[in-house]
Amino acid sequence: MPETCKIMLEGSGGQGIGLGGKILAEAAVANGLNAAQSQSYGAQARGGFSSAEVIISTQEIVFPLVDQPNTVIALTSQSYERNKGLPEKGGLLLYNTVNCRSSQTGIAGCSTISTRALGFPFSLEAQNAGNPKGITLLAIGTLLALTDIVKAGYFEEALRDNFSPSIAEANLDCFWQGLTLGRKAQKPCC
Amino acid sequence: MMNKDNSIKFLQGNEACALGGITAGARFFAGYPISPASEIAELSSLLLPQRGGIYLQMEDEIASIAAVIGASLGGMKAFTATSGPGLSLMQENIGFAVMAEAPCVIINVQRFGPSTGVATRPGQADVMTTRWGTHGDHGIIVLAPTSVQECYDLTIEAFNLAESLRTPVILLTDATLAHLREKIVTRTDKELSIISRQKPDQVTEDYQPYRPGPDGVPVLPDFGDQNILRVTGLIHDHDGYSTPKPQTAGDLVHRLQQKIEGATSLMPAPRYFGSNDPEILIISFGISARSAREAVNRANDQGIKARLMQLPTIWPFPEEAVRYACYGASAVLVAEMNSGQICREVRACGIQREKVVGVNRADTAVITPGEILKAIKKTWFRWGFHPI
Amino acid sequence: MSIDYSVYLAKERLPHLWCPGCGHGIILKNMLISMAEMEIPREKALLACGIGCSGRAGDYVNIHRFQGTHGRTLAYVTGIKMAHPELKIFCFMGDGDCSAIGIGHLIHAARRNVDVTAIVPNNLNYGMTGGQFSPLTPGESLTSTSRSGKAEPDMDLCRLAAEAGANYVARTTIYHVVEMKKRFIEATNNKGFSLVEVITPCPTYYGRYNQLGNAHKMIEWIKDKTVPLHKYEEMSVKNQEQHFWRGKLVEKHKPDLYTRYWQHERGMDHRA
Repeated sequence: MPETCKIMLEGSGGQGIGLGGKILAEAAVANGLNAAQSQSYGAQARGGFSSAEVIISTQEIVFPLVDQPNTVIALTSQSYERNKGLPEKGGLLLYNTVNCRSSQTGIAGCSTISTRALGFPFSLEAQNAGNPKGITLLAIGTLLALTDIVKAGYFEEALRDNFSPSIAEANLDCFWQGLTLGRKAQKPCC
Repeated sequence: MMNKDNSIKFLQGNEACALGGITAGARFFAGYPISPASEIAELSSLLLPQRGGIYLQMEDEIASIAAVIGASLGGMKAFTATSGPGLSLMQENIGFAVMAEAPCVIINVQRFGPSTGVATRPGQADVMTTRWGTHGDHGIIVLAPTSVQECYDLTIEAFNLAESLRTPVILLTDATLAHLREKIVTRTDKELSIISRQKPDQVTEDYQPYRPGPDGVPVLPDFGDQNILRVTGLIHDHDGYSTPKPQTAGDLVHRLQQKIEGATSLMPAPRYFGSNDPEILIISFGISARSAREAVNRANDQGIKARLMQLPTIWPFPEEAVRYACYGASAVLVAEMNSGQICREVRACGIQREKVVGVNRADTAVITPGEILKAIKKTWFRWGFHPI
Repeated sequence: MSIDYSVYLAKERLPHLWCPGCGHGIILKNMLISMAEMEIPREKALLACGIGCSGRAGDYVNIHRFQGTHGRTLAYVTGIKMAHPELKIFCFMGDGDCSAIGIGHLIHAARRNVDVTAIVPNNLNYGMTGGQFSPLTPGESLTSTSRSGKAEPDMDLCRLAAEAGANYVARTTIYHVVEMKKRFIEATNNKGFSLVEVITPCPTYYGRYNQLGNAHKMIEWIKDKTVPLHKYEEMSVKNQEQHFWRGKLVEKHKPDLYTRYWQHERGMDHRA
């Protein structure tokens, strides 16, 4: 991973974007790294735009917001459109193939132009896991399988801290499903 | 659980404020729900009763600050949290707290204004409202954190200042800091120096609650103590009885200003980052100072001699320190998310007008390191410093 | 053995600033006498006043005294009482203070059932500022801001407090001075929010504008206009508009705010 990972999670309200970002950042801190997390959203609690910013760094984080992301998880087509140029700048883009139509992707996302834009059917996978709201955790699982930003074990622990035991299990299933998805895909060149 | 004693936490700025307040000894919170400050009320409502404290949700912000003042005079350390619209409603009672010398902390999480503005987006345009929002001449203390750690530390500092000087203290945060999560280190009250108000050491029939001590701060009993407390927002004598005497009025209003202006050594001093021998000085506070610090780092990397002066104490304005820091620099940039409220104050310190340049953003977005760096470079080249 | 009420009085502060014929001194004295009869220790009593003529009452007592901003008395004392539950808190708020600018706090103090005794000396106008009409000024009255008669209707503050949840509500007048003291004692002994409205003359403004004569005549006028609550309720609406009722409207014993707060929070601890 680069010295400082500037991650944007983008989706819509109700997808657990904010909480996913919080858990990722907590995992990073437990992993001995520095982290900052923030989120922005519209007035709607459900639906509408939602995004979370997570900075994870081995260094002190001076500016705690993401001005230029180097890693993006795009769950909606708007987010994909906004970030599709990212791989050309050296960033990593994971996107939801269910919403984001891309002409560039192959199976399991490995793009023909760059291995740094990967599409996965996150919505379908979350639905198949019986937990559509677990989509962000699933996508983070994929991210952690493809990169070494944070060790999966720390994420699992942080996830358990954020839910009651029964709900944690369903969400862990999503996360593990995402990990599997990522491990099957070709590792992007970092 | 981040470490063994749970002293390392990953928290939002708002949560850190609530925790800081309670660590400082606050046992009373009264508030009214408002974005983006509500988490301070939420966490207080959870934690205070567990510590024998009171959480009250009042009918509006006027009642909230009133209940806080009441609880404070009853002997509890008390605080409230709000945002611009609520702060405007609280103003009359902030002036009353100054006059009554009721220690309390008001956390103002700045959102974009004026009026309802944008409730979930940040601004830094309440600088003057916190200073001059209530009517009449008065002293006021306003502290501004730049990180979640400082939200915690400066809330504790705010209580210490409120208690030692018997005055309201405003903590000026913003919507971004409020919801930003960062790693912080918390301390127990035993590890920190926690200050509580002085109490009368003897009971006398004719105790004068408002007779000032050598530092200009009176030693008030609490309501319910053997020494009788008389409180009024009217001009009052040392007994606490109202009087319109010009001499009493003049002395009281002078003292209320002087006890604050004369105690600046107790307040957090400016912090400096970057070049020790700067050509360009950047003055900033709150979340803007984080951008400015990043910009200064980048500028220094490019060989530009820039330095950041971060102001944790906004009011009383650190005039001397600003004057001294500006003296050595060729140009002064003031980075803030408003139309130039601190900039105006820097100029009022007697710095040449053309030397001071505002770097402003007032559109609901956080000013970026890139914007500030651009302004630094523009100044660097305009003033004819050697390009790198 | 009751205490001599003068221990609560700051005699050196007299004479007071109220006009000749004003009833505020009588109401304050009765409040202090009722405190003496209840043997409330001087340091356990707090007088919290609003702004206006009645707000100056605090300058004449030698007990804990609080005077905040206009209309907010009940919000401050909510905080004081929660911090200091053993204090006996008496609030002294004029009709303008309590029924106009402070009406929101009255409703919520009554709803929360904060254990304080709210005394409302109702002199039917804003005296300190020169005799403007208040929400409690009867309709058609002449005042300095209603030279051709007050167009707005008035309101019944007592019924509002009762509806909002007060434990004890009563109304009396300056003429019924023995009853006044009795009401103050009943109100204070009832743990929870209590309100006693006292109709009182303002000969300087209300009396003069409405040609009601001197203080003596005004007290007669109040006496004649006032009927017991049960009689009032039998009157036609039109007749009611010409009268004040007096009596006890509500006497309940619901737990007060402090009791409820800790019952609930300790219950939470228990469950945890």
